[in-house]
Amino acid sequence: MILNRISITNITSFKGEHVLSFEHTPQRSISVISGNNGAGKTSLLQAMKINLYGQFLFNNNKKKYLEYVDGFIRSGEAFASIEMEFRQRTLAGNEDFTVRRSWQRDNGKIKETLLILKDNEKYQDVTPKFYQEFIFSIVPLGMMELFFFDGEKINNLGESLRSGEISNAVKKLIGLSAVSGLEEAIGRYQHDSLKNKKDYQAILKAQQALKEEKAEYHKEGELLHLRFAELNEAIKRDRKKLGNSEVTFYETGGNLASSHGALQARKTQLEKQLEEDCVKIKELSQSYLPLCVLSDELEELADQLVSEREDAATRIVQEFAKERAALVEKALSEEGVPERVRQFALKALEVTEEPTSKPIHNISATQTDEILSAIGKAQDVIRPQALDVFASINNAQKELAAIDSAIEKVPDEAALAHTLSEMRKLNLKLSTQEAQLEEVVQRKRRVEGDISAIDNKLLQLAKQLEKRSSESKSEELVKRFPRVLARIKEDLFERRLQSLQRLTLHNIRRLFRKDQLIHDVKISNDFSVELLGSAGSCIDLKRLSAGEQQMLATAIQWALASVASGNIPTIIDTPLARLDSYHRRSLVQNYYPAIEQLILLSTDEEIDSELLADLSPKVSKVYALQHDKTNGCTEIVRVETEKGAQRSLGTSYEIYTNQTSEADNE
Amino acid sequence: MKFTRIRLPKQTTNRLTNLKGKTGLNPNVLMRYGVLLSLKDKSDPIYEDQVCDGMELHRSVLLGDLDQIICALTMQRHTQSDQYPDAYTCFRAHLYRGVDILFAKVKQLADIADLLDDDQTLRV
Repeated sequence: MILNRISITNITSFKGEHVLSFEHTPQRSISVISGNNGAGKTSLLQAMKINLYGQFLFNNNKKKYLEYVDGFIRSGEAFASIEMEFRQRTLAGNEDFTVRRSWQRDNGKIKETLLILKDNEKYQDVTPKFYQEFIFSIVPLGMMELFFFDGEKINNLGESLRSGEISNAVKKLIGLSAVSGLEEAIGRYQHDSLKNKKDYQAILKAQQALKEEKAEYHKEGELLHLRFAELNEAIKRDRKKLGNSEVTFYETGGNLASSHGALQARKTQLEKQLEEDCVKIKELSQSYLPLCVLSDELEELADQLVSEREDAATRIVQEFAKERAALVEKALSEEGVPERVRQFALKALEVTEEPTSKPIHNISATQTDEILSAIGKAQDVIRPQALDVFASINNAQKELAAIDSAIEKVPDEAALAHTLSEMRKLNLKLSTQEAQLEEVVQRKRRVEGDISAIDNKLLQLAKQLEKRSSESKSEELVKRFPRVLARIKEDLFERRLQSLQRLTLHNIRRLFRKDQLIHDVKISNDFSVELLGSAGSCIDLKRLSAGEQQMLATAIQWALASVASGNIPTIIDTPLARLDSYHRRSLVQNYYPAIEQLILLSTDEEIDSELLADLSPKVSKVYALQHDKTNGCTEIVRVETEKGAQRSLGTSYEIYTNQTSEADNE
Repeated sequence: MKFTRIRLPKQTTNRLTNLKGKTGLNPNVLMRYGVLLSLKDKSDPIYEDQVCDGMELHRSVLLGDLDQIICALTMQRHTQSDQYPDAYTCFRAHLYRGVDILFAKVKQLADIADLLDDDQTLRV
């Protein structure tokens, strides 16, 4: 974690927003915030702690925390916020995060809002509920004690290393937290696998139950299959029987029996028609139909009658001509016309035409007409009508004969009754059987569907089992993990502890004036620190001066920072207050340049010009806190680095230093 | 042909009754068919007197509308006959013979169709 920027708004003596940038280079890794007592240096450190840990700084006591915040927010302001932007090294590379904690005063109540931004956008990978957890994962609470500390209060670090939070932080720093995390993960995995075992058993049970259910369905399916075959056979048999009965029925004229009604109806219809036709024939017989038995005779009669009528006319003309001739002859005789002329005239009046036939009938012209009319009507009207009616009668009689023949064939009802009853029974039986067969088919389909559904479930369970079995293989492997991990942990812990001891001893020798007195450092498993003098004697830490204790704590903290590979900035408030000039120089020359990012919150009295000359080339940012007593506000002023540092902290100075981290080498 | 009533022989009467039963036609209509059928036959009927103890019919009932034409046909036929009794005798002889022919040929009304002088075959 590298701190890029901090922004505070309306906190203690800081009115409005104030931004401090801590951008730096590896060569210039130190930022200095200087100010007189009460200017707000400690408030800045506290602001950073509150920003990161909120109420956890107060043992998760919200009430106590909010009371503190109420005083921490600048008096009279309704809103306050602290924002820290830092760069975190992750597997994905460097990522910029911003932690913003803000407060809103509302009717005497304070409402806090915590927000995490990633690349200036709301961080989506973590829900707001787990923001605090996320912060802890980067900077555990104990780590704050190790890296954000007050120089005057660090001297009991040797003691506090054993406390829970710091101990955990140290473990995290020396890389044990990774192993612990792995242990924890394995523990969770084992817990889950235990649960999975239960699941496994549950799956097996479910599988067994499903198999049993499937077996039941199979049994039912087999029974249904048998029933299906049985019914099919029965239906075939009965259909054959029905077929035979139908043949018998047809052979015995059963089909006619069924059409008997229709035949009877048709017969009645035909008989009615026949009756009507007979009435027509009778009517025609009353008229001229009898004449139609003759044809040549009627023609002869007609010819005879016509001939007789013509002969009659001829005879009348002859009579008239004779009468006229007699009158003419008388008149001509009286006039004395010559014989030759008279004969000529009479010749002219003579009718030469003679009757052609011998008269038979001697009837009047009217009678002749009546007879001729009757002949005409008989031949032209009555005959065609009669022929039509006779054709109709003929057809009706033929059909009736057929119907009668069919009706004659209709068997005796008693004879048919048995066959019919048998057929009815068979039909009824067949329809029942077919319904049963349909039901069996439906049930078979349902059973097949159920079996298919069970198969699907079994397949899913088999997949789950396969997954579980592969998990159980993993479990077998995982079972061995804790032992292996414990050994790794022990080994790692041992090695890291030795590194810590070695680095601490190395740092003590670089920082202590009395380094020759300390031959060795022993850090036990519970992080209790022992200093060993010559001949392996244990040095009582309480006998060390306050300054020496601070230096020891600094040596340990430096060692921890080295082991931690610079994953966290070191922020020291009043860094040099208790120290003598030797130890101050040691820190400035050896310790400060070795830290990857260092933020010093110091008074102008703590670092003299000589120290400042040593420190100046390593400084990237200098801020001066200027407190205005009249309005009770502190202004943060950015000072030009090189010159500013000199102006603010003293003179320019060429420095050397570059402590290589042993942890990096490891 | 002068007659107002005619009495038939018993046999002829019986046959007419029988035919009426078979065909439903009245005796007068049956007798008209009979006379005409007999006239159609080119052979001469038997002109012998028979004992007439059967039914008696009035001329108008017997011949109806066909009176003139049947008379004319009878006259026409008997001008061609070698034996030429009087017209009534002729008519009577044809009547008796006609009823016999009818009795022989007609078993039911539909058989009348067979009597019609027509080229069409009416009955199968």
